[in-house]
Amino acid sequence: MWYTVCGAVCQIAATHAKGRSAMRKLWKNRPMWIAAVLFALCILLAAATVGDRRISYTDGLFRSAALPVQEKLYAAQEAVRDFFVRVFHPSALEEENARLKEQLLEQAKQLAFYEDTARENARLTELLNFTDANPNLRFLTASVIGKSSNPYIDTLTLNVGTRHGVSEKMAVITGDGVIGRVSEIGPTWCRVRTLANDDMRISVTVQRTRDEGMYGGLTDLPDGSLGSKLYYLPEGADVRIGDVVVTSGLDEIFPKGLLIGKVVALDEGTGAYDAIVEWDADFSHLEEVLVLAPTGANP
Amino acid sequence: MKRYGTLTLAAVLAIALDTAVLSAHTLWGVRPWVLLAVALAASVAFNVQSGIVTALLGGLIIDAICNSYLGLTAACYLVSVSALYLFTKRNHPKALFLWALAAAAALLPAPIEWLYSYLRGAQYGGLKTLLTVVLPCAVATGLCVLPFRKLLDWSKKGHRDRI
Repeated sequence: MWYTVCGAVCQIAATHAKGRSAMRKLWKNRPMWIAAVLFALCILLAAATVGDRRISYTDGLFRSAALPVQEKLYAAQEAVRDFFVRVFHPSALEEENARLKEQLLEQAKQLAFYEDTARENARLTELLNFTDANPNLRFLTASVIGKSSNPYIDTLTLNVGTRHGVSEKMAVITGDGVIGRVSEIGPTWCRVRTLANDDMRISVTVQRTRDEGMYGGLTDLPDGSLGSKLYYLPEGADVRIGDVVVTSGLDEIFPKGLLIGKVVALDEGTGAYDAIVEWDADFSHLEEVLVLAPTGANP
Repeated sequence: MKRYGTLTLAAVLAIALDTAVLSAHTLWGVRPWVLLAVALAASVAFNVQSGIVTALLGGLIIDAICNSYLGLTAACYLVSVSALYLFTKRNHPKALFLWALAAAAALLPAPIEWLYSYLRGAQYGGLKTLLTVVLPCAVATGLCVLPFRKLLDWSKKGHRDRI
């Protein structure tokens, strides 16, 4: 009996010693156990996102925290890609460059077209406003197809002629005022003598004082550019610098009240003229004009 | 602290390389897994715990940045680090042998990645992909372990000198 008990105790002690040895082994290999546990956790975490790709709380937390880093790294990745493309594939870069240049050119063309259309629209609207404001006048719209080569542009060529009902001495105007009058004419074209022409003569009125006079003949303005003289004002006329000069309508070519220009200088006792007028029209940027039929004409 | 500073710096550099450069620029699909190389080097140069922590945190960060399944890369890297620890537990391998062991350890996660790719519905090339892509990547990773081990050994040496 005693031997049996002793034997059992010894067996338990031996088993316990084996257990302790096994535990010691396990403890010694704890990094592996830790790694195994972490591995299992990582697999579970990944498995949670395999199914329908719903973002779990942990997933969302990690990705939110990583987002700024992700952005920076993506930018770095693009920069590195560009660098390698530049170094190893210069032809690809050249192709891309050529393609972008082509695109840019195409867009520039489109932009130019749109801008041109917008400007044309503005000019035509201006002309339309003028025709609406003068319902008793008859107009013919014409495009400028040529200009004289001198800097002050004393003649213009229009794309309308006798076939369109244009005749000599017809007035040519824009929404801003007088441009000139038809001086030569062909079947499909006509030449216009502008306000800047030395031979141009128009009966005018000083708008403020209603004094009448004659516009015509070039002279130098005080600033060195060209202007026209104003003659035959009544004696004692109170004309001042800045007064607006408009057509009087007495020459039966230009209707009454069309803008010519402004007085920029007065006679200084020379007797050569009464005042100098600077015309308001900008001949260098003209594109569309109105040809005005004289009263009673049928253009 | 110098050695852990060096390890952190190397891990950050490896993450940047893995996610910003090597994810998009490979040589016929072959690239080293740089963070895995750092984790393997850390487990050889310092201790296995350093390798485990690097593999776990770095893997999670890479998963988060690359929009991969969160935990998958970390799990794969943990397997590799543990395997290398078991390979090198009783000896301190020379460079060439370490290269081979590290490459073998880097190969071990392939089945896990294959399983996940399969579950995701991706067409995995099987043996052909294993031979033409995974194996060269593992070899390149093993090669990368060597300079990182040198670097970490150097940082450890400074630490010992101070002691």
